Amino acid sequence: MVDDTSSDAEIIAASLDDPDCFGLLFERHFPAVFSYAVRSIGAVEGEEIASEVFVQAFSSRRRFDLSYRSARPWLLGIASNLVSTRYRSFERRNRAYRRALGRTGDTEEFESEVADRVDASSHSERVQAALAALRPPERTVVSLFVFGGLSYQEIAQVLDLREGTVKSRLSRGRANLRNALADIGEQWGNDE
Amino acid sequence: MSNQSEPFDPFDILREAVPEPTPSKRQTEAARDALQQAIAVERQSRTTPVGARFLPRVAVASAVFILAVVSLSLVLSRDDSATATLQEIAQAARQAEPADIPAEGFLFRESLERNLRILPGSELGLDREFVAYSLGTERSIWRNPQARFVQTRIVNRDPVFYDDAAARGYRSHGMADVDALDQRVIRRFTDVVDPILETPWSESPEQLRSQIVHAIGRGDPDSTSSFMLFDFAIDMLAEPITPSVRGAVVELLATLDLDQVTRNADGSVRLQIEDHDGLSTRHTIVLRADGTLASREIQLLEANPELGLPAGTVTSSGTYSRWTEVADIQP
Repeated sequence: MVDDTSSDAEIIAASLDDPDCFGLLFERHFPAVFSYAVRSIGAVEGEEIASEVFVQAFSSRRRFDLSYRSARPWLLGIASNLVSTRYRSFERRNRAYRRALGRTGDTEEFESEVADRVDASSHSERVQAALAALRPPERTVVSLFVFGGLSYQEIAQVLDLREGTVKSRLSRGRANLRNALADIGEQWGNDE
Repeated sequence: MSNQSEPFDPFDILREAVPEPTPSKRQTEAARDALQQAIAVERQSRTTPVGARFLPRVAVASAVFILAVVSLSLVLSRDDSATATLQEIAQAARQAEPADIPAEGFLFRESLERNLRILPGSELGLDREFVAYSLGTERSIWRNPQARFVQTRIVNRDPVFYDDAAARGYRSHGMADVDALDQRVIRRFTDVVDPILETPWSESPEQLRSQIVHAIGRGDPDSTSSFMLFDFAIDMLAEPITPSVRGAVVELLATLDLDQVTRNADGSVRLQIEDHDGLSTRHTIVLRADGTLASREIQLLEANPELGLPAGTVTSSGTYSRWTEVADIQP
């Protein structure tokens, strides 16, 4: 029998016999997964991904290493895979259609080229664009570190990397973001 | 207190600029339902000898596309006469009065547009990856560049479908509400830093070209095609840039590898360029005699089965008023 005081590993183990137990994991981690996904890829895609994470996690829970007490790194790892896949397909499609048919925008946003540009130039959009422009391996590690709040060790665990590789990717990501956001960084320093 | 010798940490900017969202009740319930369905399927499969398992498929995001329309007349060959025509328009653009917006006033523009909207087929209940339809939009924009303020008022109208199934799916899935058909949607933006209005563009076409190459992000002029320059230049002409910069943009257009330059009876000029990098498209714009953008159109030159679009489909069109100075914003 599991309850709110049980560890994630205990909940997952119990869910192998009683699938409904997995709901506890959802209640515990959905806000963090949602936040990570939305901050990594935007509201529309992020919402879909956050939901998809738990469906995928449920179907693959037998592969969860029960020696880890917390499932959060594992869930964020699934989320980061979905984000990466989405980035790839969305970028590919967007590039092709943007090139061919004109400017693209999000249906949830306003749809003119003026509006797109206005949006793209806003502070937060600039920052997200800089993140999106990182090489995918750097972007994934940076997102897990900054938005997921995972440690080097946890990132290494979920991405199956050595800790040193995580640190070097974070370092490169930080340097590239610093270059891309130099002007904002200057203001940042002045504002503080 | 900041230490100038210590570089800023961009991760702090990421944390601050991309705030942490909290899922709404609806979002949480939708995700919980998806998980409950998966749990129910597994439970059912345990009691069924050959359980069918379904992994919910992820819907793909949406995208939208934009602007323009037309005019006609006698075609000038791609030679001196075309260049002379554009030079003449550039000259007129340079002589225009610069906008004089009072601190409390606005620049205002209206446009009539028809843009392609692309969605995952599943959103209209269709068993296909994409579905496309076009949507008419009346758009009004007020902006005060000094105050970095923008207000848009949008009314979407008259969706046009490329097949009956899409039309049925649109109606049965409540897309009229999603598109807010026939409703005024007003949005206000403050602190808008528009790169086109705030970049100190050169008034020399050669230097302007370099700036645009840089802005497009290619850095290398050889990998920046005429089409890319054209596309960016038109974005600039659509905005209330200064008369001198407008003149330089039109002069830059005169140096590009355009497919057609046509002078109209009213003094306007129609420019056409084709892009065959990827899907083949034809881009047509009409500039008024003073270099302001009157219309813009993008046409597919070959069928696109993925989107279900026949060859010749106009994927984006728009006609634009001039930017005028107004004292107030209308609701």
